[in-house]
Amino acid sequence: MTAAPEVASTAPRALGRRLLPLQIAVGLSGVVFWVPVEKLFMTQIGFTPRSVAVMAAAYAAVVPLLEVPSGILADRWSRNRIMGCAGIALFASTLLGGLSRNVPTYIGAAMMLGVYFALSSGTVDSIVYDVVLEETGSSDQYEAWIGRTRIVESGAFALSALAGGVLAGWSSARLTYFVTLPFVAIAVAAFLRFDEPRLHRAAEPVALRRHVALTYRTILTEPTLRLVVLLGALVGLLSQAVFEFGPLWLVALAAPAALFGPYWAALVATLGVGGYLTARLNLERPMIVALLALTAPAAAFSLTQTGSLTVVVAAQAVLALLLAIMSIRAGKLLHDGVPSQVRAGVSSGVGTLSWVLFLPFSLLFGWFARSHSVRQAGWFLTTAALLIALLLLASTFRGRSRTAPQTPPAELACQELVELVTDYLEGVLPPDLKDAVREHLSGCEGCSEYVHQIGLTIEALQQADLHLTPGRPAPAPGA
Amino acid sequence: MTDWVSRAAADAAMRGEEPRNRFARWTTRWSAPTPTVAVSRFQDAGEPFPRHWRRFPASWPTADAADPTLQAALTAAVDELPGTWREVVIARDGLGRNAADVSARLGLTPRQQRAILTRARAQLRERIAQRLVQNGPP
Repeated sequence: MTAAPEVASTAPRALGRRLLPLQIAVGLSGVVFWVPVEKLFMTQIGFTPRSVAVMAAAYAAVVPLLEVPSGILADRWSRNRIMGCAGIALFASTLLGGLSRNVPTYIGAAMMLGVYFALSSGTVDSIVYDVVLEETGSSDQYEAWIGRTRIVESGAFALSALAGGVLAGWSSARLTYFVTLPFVAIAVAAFLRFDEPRLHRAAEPVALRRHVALTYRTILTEPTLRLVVLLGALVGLLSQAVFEFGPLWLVALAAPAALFGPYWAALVATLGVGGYLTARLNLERPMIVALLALTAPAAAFSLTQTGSLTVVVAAQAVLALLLAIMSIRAGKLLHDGVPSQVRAGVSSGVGTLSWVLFLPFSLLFGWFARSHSVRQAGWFLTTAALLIALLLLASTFRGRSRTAPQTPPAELACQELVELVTDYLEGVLPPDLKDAVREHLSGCEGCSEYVHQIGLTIEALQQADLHLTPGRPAPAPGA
Repeated sequence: MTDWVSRAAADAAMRGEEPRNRFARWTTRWSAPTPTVAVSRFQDAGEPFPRHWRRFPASWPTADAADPTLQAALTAAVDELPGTWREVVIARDGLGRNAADVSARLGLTPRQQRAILTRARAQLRERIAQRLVQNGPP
C-alpha cells in the first residue's frame, strides 16, 4: 500500500484532532459570567467583608481535604467522568449561588465550588499529558499543548468576565449566574464525549513511608530549600488574597457593576502575561529581582492609602502580575533545589502549606476589615508582600553562590539502555552510543534478558494474526 | 490495597503541585518525562548501583514465539495498547511494514514513530511478563 506523499508535521494530525473536543470543553467551562461580579452580588445578599473572609477560610479548609479523595477517584476511575462530575459541581454551585438570598446558602455554593476545583485540578493536565504521550511517543510537546489549552481557558475567563460585567450593569448580578448554566451543561457533555487516553500518568506507585520520610528530610535539612518552600507558600497565599479580597476595594468604593468585568479580565490576564514576561526577564540578575520584590509591597501599600478606583485597579493588577512572575520563579527555584524523586511531594507540600496559612490570614483580614476598613486591611497584604520580598532577595543572593552540582553520568546505565533499544535495533544510533550499548549488553545479565524478551515479543508479533484497524489512521475522507 | 493507596497518594501529590487560587490556575507546572520502563524497576541514588536494575527481569517459561500461552498473553496485551501505539506496533512488527511507510501513513515524524514503537514494545513485554511469570504456569 502506498501512502500519499505527505509532509510529516511535527504535531501529528491525530493529536490536534483528538485534543480539539477537550479544548472546546475547557473553553466552555471557563465561561463563568458571575465570577467578576461575585463580591458585588455577595454584598447585595448581605455579606460583609468579615463574612466574605469566613467563606474564603471555609473554602481554604475544604480544598486540601478534598484533594486526596479526588486523587483516588482520578486514578481508579475515568478521568472524563471526573471532569463530568466536576462540571456538575460547578453547575450545582452556580445554580445554588444564583438562587441564594442569604449568607449560609451562598457559603454552601462556595463549598460546592471547592468540589469543582478539587476534582478538576490537575485532571485536564494529566489528560493532555497522556494524549500527547499516546500520539507522539514522548512528552516533549506537552508544554506546548497544555499552554494552548490554558490560553483557550484564560481567553474564555477574560471574555466572560467582560461580558459578565456588562450583563450585571445592564440587568442584575444575579442574572449572570443563570446565564452561565447552559455553558457549563454543554461543557459537561463535551467532556463525556472526549476520547480518553488509556495510559495513566500516575501509574507509578511509590513506597509511601519512605517517600514521605525522604520528602521531610529534604525540606528539613536544606535551609535554602526551607526559604523557597515558605516563599512559594506565601506567594500562593497572597495571590489567593488578591483574587479573593481585591474586589472588596471596588465594592467599598461603590464601583459601577460594569467596571468589575474589565477589572477581573485584567487580573486574569496577568497570569498569562506573567508567564510571558518570566520567559523574557533575566531573573538571575539581583537588580531585576530586587525591583520586582520591592514593587509588590509598594503596590500593596498604595491600596492602604488611596481612594481612587483607577489607582486601586492598577495597583491590584500590578500586584497580581508580580505575584504571577514570582510564583513561576519560586517554582523554578524549587525545581532546581529538590531531587526529582521528591519534587512532586515538596511542591504539593507548598500548595497545602499555602492553603493552611491562608485560613488564619483570611479570618484576621476579615476581622480587621470589619473593625477598621477594607482599605486599612490592605496592611495585611503589604506585610505579606514585604515578607515575600525578603524571602525572594534572600533566596536569590544565597542561591547565587551555588553552581550547578550536576555530574554527567559516567557510563550507560540500565535505565538509559532501555530507552535506546528500538534505536539500537533499527540501527539509527550514533556509532559511539551503539558501541556503548553493545558493551553494556555483553556485561549485564538483566539488560540481555530484557532485550531478549523484546526480541521474543517482536517474533511473537510476527507469528500472531493481527490486523490494523480499518480506516482508523490517516485523514480518512469523510471520517 | 497498599499499592493503590500509594498510587492514589502519588496522584494526589501530583495534582497538589498545581498552584492556583479559587478561580484561576497559574500557567506553568513542571512535569517529568515518563520513562519507558517504570522508575521503580531501577535503583535510587541512595542504593549501591543507581540507575541499574533493582531486580533483573525474570526469565520467561518459554523461548518459543508460537507458544500458545505466549500468544494468548500477547493478544491480550495488544488489546490494552493505546490506539496509535497498536497501529504502529502491528504495522511494524506484525505486518513488517517499513518505518517510512508507517510514519507517513500515521502522520508521524520518524522520531515519533520510533518513540511510539519503543514504548509499545516495552509495554507489551511488561504485560506479557506479568501474565507468564506471575499468573502463568510455574
